[in-house]
Amino acid sequence: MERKFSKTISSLDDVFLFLEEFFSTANIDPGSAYAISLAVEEFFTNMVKYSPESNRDITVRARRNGDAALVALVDEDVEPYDVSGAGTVDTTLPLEERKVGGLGIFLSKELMDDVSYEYAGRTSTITLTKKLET
Amino acid sequence: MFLVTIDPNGEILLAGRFDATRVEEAYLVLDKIAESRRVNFKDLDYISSAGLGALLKTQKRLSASGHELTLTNMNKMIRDVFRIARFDVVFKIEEAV
Repeated sequence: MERKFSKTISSLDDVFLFLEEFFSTANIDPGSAYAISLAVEEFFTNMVKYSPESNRDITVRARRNGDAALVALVDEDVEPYDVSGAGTVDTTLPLEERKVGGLGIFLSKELMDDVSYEYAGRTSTITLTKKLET
Repeated sequence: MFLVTIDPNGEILLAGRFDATRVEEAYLVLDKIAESRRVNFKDLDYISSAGLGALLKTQKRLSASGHELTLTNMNKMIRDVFRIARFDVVFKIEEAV
């Protein structure tokens, strides 16, 4: 399944509807569905915030491959933003020093089995892989 | 759908999906809290880092005056997110019964 979404935070409602359709069609378990929704929200939001140079739509592709779900977010005509080094968070800090910056990417990486980043032809593609509960 | 309300006992009730599109709505209620409160997650299906951030900011503000939020009735998936983020050490969490 594939769909394009306007590059704004308010598109998230439609992104979630698209994901619900995928979860239902591909028979994705609730725990994996939650994890995928969270990771997609975090990376989609990141693309809106940190790649504002392009107002091209963000494409989301989702498919099930055996016992894994793969979801790709494609952001065209942007500068590279490699997420593989992002999301380092010190979760041991006391309340006063805890920050939210980076938390979304940190959580996404913890919840996904793999997060890969490719950049080619001014297009960023983040691919999320989640092994499904059987 | 997302709802944040305060019941007659002063308990904050969260319902639906607390994502990045709902943060401003949440602050309309959270910013009015000035003392310790329980936050009931019973009807909350989903929370992302945006929702965690709003709760963290509120907890920090309350903590400065010796108050705190106590979180109750989380579903398993939300509880896992709090555990992974280690937010279970910055919030008092009452386990669901």
